[in-house]
Amino acid sequence: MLDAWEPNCVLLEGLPETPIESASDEQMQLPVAAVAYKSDDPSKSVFAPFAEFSPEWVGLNWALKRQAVVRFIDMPAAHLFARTWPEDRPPFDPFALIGEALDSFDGELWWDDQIEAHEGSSELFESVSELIRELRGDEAIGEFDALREAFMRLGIRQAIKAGKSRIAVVVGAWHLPAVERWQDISASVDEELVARLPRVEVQASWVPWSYDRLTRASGYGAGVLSPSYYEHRWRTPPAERTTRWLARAAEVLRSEQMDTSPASIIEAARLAELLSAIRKRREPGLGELMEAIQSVMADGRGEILRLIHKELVVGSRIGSIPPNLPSVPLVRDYEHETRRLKLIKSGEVEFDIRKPLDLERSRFLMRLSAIDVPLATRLEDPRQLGTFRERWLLDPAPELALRLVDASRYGNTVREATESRLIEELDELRSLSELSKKVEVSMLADLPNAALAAVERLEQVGAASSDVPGMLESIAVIAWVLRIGSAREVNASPLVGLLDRFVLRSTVGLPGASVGTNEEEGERLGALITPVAGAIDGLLPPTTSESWRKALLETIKLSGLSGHLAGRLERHLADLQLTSFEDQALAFTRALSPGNSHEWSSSWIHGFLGDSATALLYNQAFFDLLDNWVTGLDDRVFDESLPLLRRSFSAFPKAERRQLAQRVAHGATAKAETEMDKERLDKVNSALDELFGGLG
Amino acid sequence: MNKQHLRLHAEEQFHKELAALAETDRRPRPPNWRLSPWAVADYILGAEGVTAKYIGDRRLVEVAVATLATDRALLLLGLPGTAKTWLSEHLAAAISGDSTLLIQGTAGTEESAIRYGWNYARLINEGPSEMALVPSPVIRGMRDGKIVRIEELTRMPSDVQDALITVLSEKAIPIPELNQEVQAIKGFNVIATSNTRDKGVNELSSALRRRFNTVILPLPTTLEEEVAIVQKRANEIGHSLELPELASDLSEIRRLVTVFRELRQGQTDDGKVSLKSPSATLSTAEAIAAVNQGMALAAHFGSGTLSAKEVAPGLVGAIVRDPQPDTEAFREYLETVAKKREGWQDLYLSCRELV
Repeated sequence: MLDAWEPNCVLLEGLPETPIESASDEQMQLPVAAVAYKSDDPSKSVFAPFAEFSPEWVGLNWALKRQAVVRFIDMPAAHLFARTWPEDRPPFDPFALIGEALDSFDGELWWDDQIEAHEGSSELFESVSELIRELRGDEAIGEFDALREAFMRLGIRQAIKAGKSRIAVVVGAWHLPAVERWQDISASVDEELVARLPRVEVQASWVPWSYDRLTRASGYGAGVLSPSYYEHRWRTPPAERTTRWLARAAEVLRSEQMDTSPASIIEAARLAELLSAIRKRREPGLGELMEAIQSVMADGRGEILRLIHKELVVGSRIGSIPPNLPSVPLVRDYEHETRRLKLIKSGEVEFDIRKPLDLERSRFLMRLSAIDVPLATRLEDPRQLGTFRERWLLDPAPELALRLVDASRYGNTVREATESRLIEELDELRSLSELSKKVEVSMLADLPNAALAAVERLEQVGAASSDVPGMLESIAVIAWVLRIGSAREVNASPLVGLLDRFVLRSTVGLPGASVGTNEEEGERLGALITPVAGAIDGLLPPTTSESWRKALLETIKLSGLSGHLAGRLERHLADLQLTSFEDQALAFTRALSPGNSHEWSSSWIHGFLGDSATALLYNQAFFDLLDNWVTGLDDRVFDESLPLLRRSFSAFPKAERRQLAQRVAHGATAKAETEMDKERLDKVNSALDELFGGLG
Repeated sequence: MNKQHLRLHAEEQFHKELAALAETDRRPRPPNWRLSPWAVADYILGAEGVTAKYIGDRRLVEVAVATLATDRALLLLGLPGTAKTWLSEHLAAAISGDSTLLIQGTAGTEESAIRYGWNYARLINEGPSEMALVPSPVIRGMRDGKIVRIEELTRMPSDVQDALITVLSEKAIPIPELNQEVQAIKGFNVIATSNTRDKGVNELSSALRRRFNTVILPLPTTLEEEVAIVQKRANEIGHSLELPELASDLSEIRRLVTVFRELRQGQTDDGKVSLKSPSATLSTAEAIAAVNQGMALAAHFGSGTLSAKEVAPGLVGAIVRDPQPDTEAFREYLETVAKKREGWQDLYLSCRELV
């Protein structure tokens, strides 16, 4: 259409501040967004996203290539941020209304069908304009829209004044009547309208955008729900649109391990064509195509379509901008904040988060790592330490700037970007432990909205999940956040209810999850189970703790636990004083009785003893039981059990091992005098030497 | 047409609508179709002067009709009671004017049900001849260019299912004994239904599967939609059973459907309380049956209006399939939900008497 008219001036709906020059930079890869923000407050901003199929981009590109004059003629952001504006968008979506009237599915579909199918026809413009005039009626449009249109008309007049004879204007259909009949309103009226508008200083730049973000509403415009499909339409000649789209779908399905034959592409194409005929549409739209894919290629299963929706329909394209573009707002905010928080030098820093400034620094660094801008790394495992001290290693590497630009599509300030990125990531996550880490990050980095969203998502996933280990992991994380929350001034109260429900759900799932585990899983599960009782103690109502203890007691009675897990649980119950010494001694004998394989028994011992020999040193009965078991093993079994036992014992602290060895030496000699033959004793002693690493 | 038949075929019951549609239908019809695809969709979904046969997602029906028009076979999947058979019968009635070419898939279905059998007296007497051949519904459908329906496809043994592959790809059945083959004329197609709950009984081979377009029929999405379906069907059945006319009480049906939906979904409609789901399917079809039972009770033994007293036995009968766990689930529902709900006292008490 532009080619036919060959304008020497192209006027576009969009922010006049848009830095047009950089649009032709070869390093600019779509999708990108123009951003304008208040100079002293980057959080006040507006984004105008462009994809290669956006009409404004097409116009801009056309003009830049042919060196025609090009301007954006919407209301400048300078006025936009100077006051607050009423939300007076059109009271309804005009095309939705038409779609409804025609019993079509929705407005967007109707628009596609009627307008895009007539691509390039100029009569179309006339009729659309007439249609919109009808829809707008005589009612005055809102103040905001009126002002925007005044600016648009002023833009046209200016272009004419500058002597441009062939002007093309690209605006949304809604504004068509105002722009087309710009002469109906005299220049002085428009000028007066905009004359006294307040203005503030703004900066503008580009930021990289993504198809995923295009689907969310932003700036003036509503989101585009299927960017990848529009790109496909834009790039593919009409005759090939259906088959090429279906071929792409087949490819995506194959990448999801679903067999999709070339024949099914043909079948799906036929179905889509017929469907569009039944629906009286000119050619298959996205709806028909997706239904054909579902019915022919995906066995009718909607969940498969949902699986490929993101890759196929939304698309994963991410844009990029030239590296040295000035004043990307996120970079400016980053620079400002690092200076304010004095985080510009490199090297180790230590924070005391009871001091407000240090707390702020810590939060800032956490936010940065959440958006992949690793300005600093934490030097210690946070869980191991007291709650007030933090040590970080600052490393302001130059490539951070690139990462910041990359992250700038999420927001204009570090805080904003972190929050919206965290929220976006939530949709993708299904795993409880990952989700609980998101809760932790957003709570500790003081991002209440992200925290709320993460808690909600965790709750949702938790309700449907039977992943007990994941749930236990979440419990540990949540409990930890609750414990340190007060020191970091976190409002963690929504977590209490969540924690309570998670613990109760785990009590139901625990016995089932424990049975049939192999040694490795059992060991992992054991490590997750034992911290729970301590973690929830005092945080939750006593009834919940009580149910948890009951679940533990129930689980230990089950057969089919792995050796390590059974031992670990037995010990845990002993530590919680839920079992009497007699119970424990009985469990010990039972675990070491010949009915169990010696591997099982040795892992049980490992599980029971854990990393400390105290249970053996202070309980003569346990010591005797173990002693009897070891000495009672026949040679072959003893040799096989030795490495397993060594594994348990080697974890003990040196001093404990020495004490144990002394006791063994003493006990063994005492026994040898009475009942054991010398030869056998020597064997045991040499093995024990090996076991205790020559400490005896 | 014999008025004494317990149940009429769709093409008999709705012959007036079909005739009227055919009368006004000016759009192109695929060969041997009684109606154009547009008119078929109208017949199923309802239009001016035409009752809706299927209440639900319009797009699914359009996909089904378009499938049959592309001469790909149609596979309708869904839980028991999601109107698969109902839809296939009406599609066949509208397209071919004949819904009687039917094969019921069971574990005992033999290949002869799909291909052909022999009249053994004749076979022995005359040897293989056309007269001795007993054609299957598939052969009859191929010869006449009509829609053939196969019910519960996955219940058939796999080798019998696979006999369909030649039918669907070659559109022909060879009869080696006579050195002949039956070739389908245009208009022939197959609608198969299968139950997703019995999935895996005899899973379709991928060779067969890829000759079908699949449409999965969902359970009704909203309470209102389901109430409308139950009321409509219950009345139709009540009518054909010549039950005395009842004062139509939508609120009683709504309560019953609500109980079904909540138990099925495992949570209350407002999402606040989660519930145990009983083992029964609790589909719309079961709700219709329960309402019919209630209507019969009310008409013959009760006051003539449908009330909690009449609905309760049907409700309990549908829900409690496995006595111990289902009773427990239903009791829990009664105590935690029904008892506390305003205006549900009568239903609560009537049900509590029974479980």
